Amino acid sequence: MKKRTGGAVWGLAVALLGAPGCLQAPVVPPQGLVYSGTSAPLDTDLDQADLGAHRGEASTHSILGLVAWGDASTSAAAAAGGITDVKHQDYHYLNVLGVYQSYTTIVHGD
Amino acid sequence: MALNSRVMGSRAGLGRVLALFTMLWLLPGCTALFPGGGRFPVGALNGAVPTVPVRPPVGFLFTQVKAPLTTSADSSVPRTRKGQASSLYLREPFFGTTYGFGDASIKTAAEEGRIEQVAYAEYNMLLVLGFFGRLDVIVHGE
Repeated sequence: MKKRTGGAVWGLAVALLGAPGCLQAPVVPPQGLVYSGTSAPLDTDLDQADLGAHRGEASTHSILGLVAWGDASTSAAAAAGGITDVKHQDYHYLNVLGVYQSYTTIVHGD
Repeated sequence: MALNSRVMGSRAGLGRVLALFTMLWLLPGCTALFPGGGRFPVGALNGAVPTVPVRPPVGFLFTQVKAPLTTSADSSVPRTRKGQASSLYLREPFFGTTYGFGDASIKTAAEEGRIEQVAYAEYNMLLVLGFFGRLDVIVHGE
């Protein structure tokens, strides 16, 4: 009985647990099934041509879609780059088979 | 007996194929699989995950992430002050009824931090198994 239901239980467990919430952003380039490492703009309102001299990054991480943690806020990225004047924001998204995903906010400014 | 074990074997095999198929569909893709754009078959997380412009991947068991709420910052406004406002989501485990309340508006967050001009906003999202959710809106400005 145990052996008989093993496959179905495994399937159900994967269906229930292996379902990570995926990235949501204003601009998402096409994503690969096996691997994705893409950068795209967060800010599409480009009224200032000057991006500033500094760059700062802050990331969140997700393992197997089960747990997710991290601080990818604008202020964390600005603090990491020593930026007080935020001029533009991009992001980087990394996905390796859904096993590991990371999201990074990239802040440009002075 | 031989027939029985073959049937058992094929069922387990079918389960594995199904599991692999589900895995391929669910793990890396971002396709909405259930009505309402949900990706979680039990529906437990669907209501708990806030709708925000930028959302990093969330975890089924536990999520705590901070991310930008506004994608463009007003660089003419210095960020000397910070204000926060929160909303809560609860799902009671017996009947699955859900409750959402709180004021996570920019105005409330700005008033809390005595901010008159907003430079940008970000949020902090906390999710525990789809039973508890909190969204903090954090405003920076002066």
